Amino acid sequence: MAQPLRLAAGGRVDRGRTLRFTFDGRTYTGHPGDTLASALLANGVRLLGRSYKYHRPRGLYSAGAEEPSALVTLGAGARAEPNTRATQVELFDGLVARSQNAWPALGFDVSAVIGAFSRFLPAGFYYKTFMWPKSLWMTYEKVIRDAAGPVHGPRQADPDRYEQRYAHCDVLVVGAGPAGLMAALAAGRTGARVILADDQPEAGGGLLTDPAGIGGGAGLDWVRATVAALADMPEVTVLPRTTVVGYHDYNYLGALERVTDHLPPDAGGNAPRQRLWKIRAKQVVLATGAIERPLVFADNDRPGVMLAGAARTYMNRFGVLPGREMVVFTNNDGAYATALDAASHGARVQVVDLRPDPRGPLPEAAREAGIPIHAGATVCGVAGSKAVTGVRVRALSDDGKGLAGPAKSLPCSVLAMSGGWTPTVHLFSQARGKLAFSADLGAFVPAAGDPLNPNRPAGACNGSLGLDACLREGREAGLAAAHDTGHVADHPPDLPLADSLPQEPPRLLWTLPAEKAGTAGEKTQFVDLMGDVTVADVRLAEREGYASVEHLKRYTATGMGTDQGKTSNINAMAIMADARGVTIPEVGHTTFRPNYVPVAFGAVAGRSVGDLFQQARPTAMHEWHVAQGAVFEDVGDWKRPWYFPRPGETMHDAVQRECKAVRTSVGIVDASTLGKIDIQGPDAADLLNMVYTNAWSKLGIGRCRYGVMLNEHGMIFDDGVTTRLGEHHYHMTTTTGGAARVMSWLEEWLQTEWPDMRVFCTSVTEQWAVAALNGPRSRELLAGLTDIDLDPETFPFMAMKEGTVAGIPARVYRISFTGEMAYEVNVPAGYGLALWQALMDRGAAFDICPYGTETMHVLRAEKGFIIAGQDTDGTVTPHDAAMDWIVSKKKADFIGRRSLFRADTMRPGRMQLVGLLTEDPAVVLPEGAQVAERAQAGQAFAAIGHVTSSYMSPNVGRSIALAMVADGFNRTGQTLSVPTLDGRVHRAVVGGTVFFDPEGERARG
Amino acid sequence: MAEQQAPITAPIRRGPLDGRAPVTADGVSLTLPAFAGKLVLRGGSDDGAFTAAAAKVLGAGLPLAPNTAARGPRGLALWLGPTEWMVHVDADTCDALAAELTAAFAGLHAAVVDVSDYYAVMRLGGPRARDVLAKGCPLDLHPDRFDVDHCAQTRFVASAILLHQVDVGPTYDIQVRWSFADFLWTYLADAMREFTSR
Amino acid sequence: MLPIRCPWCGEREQTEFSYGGEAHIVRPTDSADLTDAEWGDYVFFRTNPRGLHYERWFHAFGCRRWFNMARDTVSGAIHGTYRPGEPRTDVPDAPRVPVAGGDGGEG
Repeated sequence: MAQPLRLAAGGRVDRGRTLRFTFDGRTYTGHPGDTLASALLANGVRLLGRSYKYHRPRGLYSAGAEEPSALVTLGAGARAEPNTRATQVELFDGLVARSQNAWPALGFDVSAVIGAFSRFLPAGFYYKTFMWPKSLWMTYEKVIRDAAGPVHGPRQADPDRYEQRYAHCDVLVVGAGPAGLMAALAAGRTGARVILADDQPEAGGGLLTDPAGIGGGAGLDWVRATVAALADMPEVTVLPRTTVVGYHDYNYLGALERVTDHLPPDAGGNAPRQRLWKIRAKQVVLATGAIERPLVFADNDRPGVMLAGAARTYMNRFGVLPGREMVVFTNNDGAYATALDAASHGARVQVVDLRPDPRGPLPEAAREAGIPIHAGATVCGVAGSKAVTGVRVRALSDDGKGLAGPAKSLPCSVLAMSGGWTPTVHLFSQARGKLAFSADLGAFVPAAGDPLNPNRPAGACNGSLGLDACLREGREAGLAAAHDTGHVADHPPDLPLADSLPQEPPRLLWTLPAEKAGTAGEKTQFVDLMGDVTVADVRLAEREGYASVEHLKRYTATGMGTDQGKTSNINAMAIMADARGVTIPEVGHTTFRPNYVPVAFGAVAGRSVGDLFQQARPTAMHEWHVAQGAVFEDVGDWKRPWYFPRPGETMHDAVQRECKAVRTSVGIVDASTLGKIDIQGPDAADLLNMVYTNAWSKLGIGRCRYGVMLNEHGMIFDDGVTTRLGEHHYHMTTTTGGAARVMSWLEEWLQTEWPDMRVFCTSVTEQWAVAALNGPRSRELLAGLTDIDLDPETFPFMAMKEGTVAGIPARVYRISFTGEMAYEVNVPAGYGLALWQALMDRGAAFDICPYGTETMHVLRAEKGFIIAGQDTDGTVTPHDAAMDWIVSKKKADFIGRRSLFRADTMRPGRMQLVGLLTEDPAVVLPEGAQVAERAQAGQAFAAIGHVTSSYMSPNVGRSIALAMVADGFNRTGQTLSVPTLDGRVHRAVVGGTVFFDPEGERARG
Repeated sequence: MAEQQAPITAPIRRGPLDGRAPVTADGVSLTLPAFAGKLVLRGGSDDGAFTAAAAKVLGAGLPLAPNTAARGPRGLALWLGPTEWMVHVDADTCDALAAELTAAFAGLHAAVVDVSDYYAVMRLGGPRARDVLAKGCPLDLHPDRFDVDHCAQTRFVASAILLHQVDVGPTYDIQVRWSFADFLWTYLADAMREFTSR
Repeated sequence: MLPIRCPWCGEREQTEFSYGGEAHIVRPTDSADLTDAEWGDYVFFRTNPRGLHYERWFHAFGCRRWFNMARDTVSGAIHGTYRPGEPRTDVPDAPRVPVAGGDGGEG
């Protein structure tokens, strides 16, 4: 039978089209306009899942974002998405959903036995049961998680596309119910930039449920006209299917738009699945409505027990009768509308009202319609476990705390309950708004906003439940919000008249008496369905001292599920208040936190995934490196050639070959990534004198100098060569990784400490492509390509000349990071590849060898040149690095100087940079290995340092290493131990840091 | 020393986006404008001698208002900061202009720095260009806030960019560092995919 | 994400900026005459107030200028930004209490 509970007419579904979907492998049908929840309900499917802790059968509880119960896994394979609220899933053809927490099958769940043993799983059971021994926790956790059911995310990459975008507006209106629509219309009329976001596919909010009239016509006609008016306003953006999930400081709000979730997979074309909006709004109008509260009575979690407003939504919006026999259980007038509507659709309806004599217009209308009303009574039991078959009803004692009189059994297939309405204050509270408890509503309502986040709650979320009040407050809020952004309407919209019936106050009884006394009864009274938290748990928390609202939350897990306790929190607080004998406001409320509904990680990541996750910075010569089969190393975001293997070579082979080639003939390395800063101004030398440890005043034009930068702690943080280009003009280089940091460092000092210094620093890092020729034949090679006189008398080591190389305007620096004769050729980056190719072509006759960063590192280590950040780590002074020579003894001041004279930096025995030569010359120590005075295999040892650099050096003919060792300078000649992770202990002798050409003649040649 | 052996052909100057085919979508396109010379000018906004010297050479005053650009007979000047401008000029005249400016700034606390190759410029244009930019740029680009010849140094996702609105189309020129150009181009092209039908 | 008013570029999103620690700490020019304690005070010690804090920010993705901000470390409220060398933003009523001990947060 197709959709047995689908009404013949009415609602917002298109009965002209049929959609097919499966739930737990069975195929059902629904219609466009359905949610998965409404379609399942139409098909009479009541049992939708099992609860996570007790595996109790669960069904549909609500019709919106607050759903604590009907959680399903949507989709399959890589697209499977667990814990999706069936009430928020728009039906599409081919939708696939599965129930959760049920093994082996939903109808027969072995684990449901757990429910019978619930005494073992009270509040805090994790802490109590599994605290000891600690080592077994991992085992316990696995058992608990497995028992909790097969709710797993897919392991495959998410195939869907998620996007993000920024948006700015004068007024953001959250919620497109009557208050929000009215606010958007009023603000839009002023010409303000307005965004109206609503989580449903169509506007209307409560009017989709309540067929109340507005302005003399149908409410939905007013909605339609208002939406059309908004569409005509160019500065108004309406975002349907968009849930505002987070309200952050200074009116920065996150909103999740479900762009194509309502379509079958791959039917959305190139549109993303979801889009995360990041909205900066000058003003916000919160029209987020209200959420109905459950009543807390025995077995109130059975499939078929649902909120009365939701039952009405299924009838009026989705054209589904929740059941042919309905009991409406209420403490207020509003739920009578559900009873009346159900009766009008032919259901047999009875009302159980906690109040002894309800006399408002709605109850009277129910009486007139012949609906039996059991006043002053409560539901005290529910029959049926996988589906409600009836309820037990008894009269309440006068104080509402006890039962009186005999029980009556009322047969029914659905119990629609209402404990009143809780304003949806989540966003208001996230915005730091203060809440106040309304005794009339039995709920917290907005009291005072925070000036950091200008907003106005309007309508139900403000505690104003009547339709007329919603429209009025929405209009006022919209106009005022726009006004505060400087926009005034010439013709503000009129306030339409609305149908609103007066209602008598609710009778607030937070827990209802159970037939079983004490804990036995309380354990069947559910407060938080998602967390399986009962009244007994809340009372236990109070007895055990977890009485504060934040403790209550964590001890019982109330409100900690993915629904964040939207239906449960206020009941839990009220029960705690009762247990403590205080008022609800004295208990207070937990902090509302983003996000309002769960947000997929994909939406958080946006498009910054895969190749777009992180940029890879190529140099101007990158193509050549790729074509030559370079293996790349990531240096920051840069892609630098690591080594250039020839066919059949290992990395070791390639690096050894490259290292030999450089020292025997000529090698070429792409040094483009070094940071470069153009420094100009009459005080440029003064700046250099302050940021470097050595003296710069006497550097000649066209001459280069190496410098080390310290932070104010006296520790090395970068180094490089700076060249004087002109009278007041310098070219600074930095390490690759330090480029941005050094640039900011110079700017910081110039702007904040020395604003009178006349210096301009301009980054030129990528203006220049740099090909560095290193090796004894580098001059010979370069000579054939340049008009620069390379005579070492006029172009010595540490000098710079300008000219052309391969016909390209170039600056050539005679600086060396290998200790070889070297020429670093700088050309505008656009010519980088041309330069490189010309050098390679010309270099063929010299057996030129392109080399990468690994060979560069070996060669510099042979020379004992440090790499800031590898051999130093932010705790190393120039003295520690055996670089006393770089520190001027004459300069009165430079950054970090004073710290070099602190007691600690002058302390003997500091970690100091030394060379290490292993006793076995074939052993290459692992970088990072600990160094000990004497260590035995397999035994504990005291580390006195660590290896910072370590390589097999073909030029020295053995392995070499640098290490930071405590009191290293005084250990020359000592043999130390280096235990490695493979269990071996190597022995190595301490020595100097220069392993090759200690006189340094090769670079000067 | 040794005689120079000039290469057989003139060296080729290239940019990081050379050879990229334009990317088009409904209402937005991503293209490469002609290569421009780029000079950074440094000097004080409040240094009258500097601004006058610059104006004299450029034939138009530097834009002194933050976030604005000014077009002159010799190029486009974009405000970068209170002591910094980016000048886009015809590539062929860049060296000459730099020399003229350097000469005009003699004796002043000012600087001219050629950054022609440091940066690449890509052009995003069309009615949906704003929607594409909004996917990664936090600026409010509503025409009331950001209009023709407004410019801003800002970011698109992880990339630092210099954004300049060229016309009401709107068309934007987006300047980015050489090594970031490929990534930004790829990201923008990806952001345009929503507006393609296939 | 805070909207931050760069004194030169105007209001921009926080992701364009980087934080630079406490403002108005003047580097001693007579460091050679300072005791280790006095120098250490400059290098290592900051006021870390609960309440009004004068701090430095850097418009890293924008004009690359450093500037100062008066910000409340409790509320997050930004009372104003101003250029180096300009007088502090006057915030007469803002509390400025050094933190004593930890301040428990919520999980």
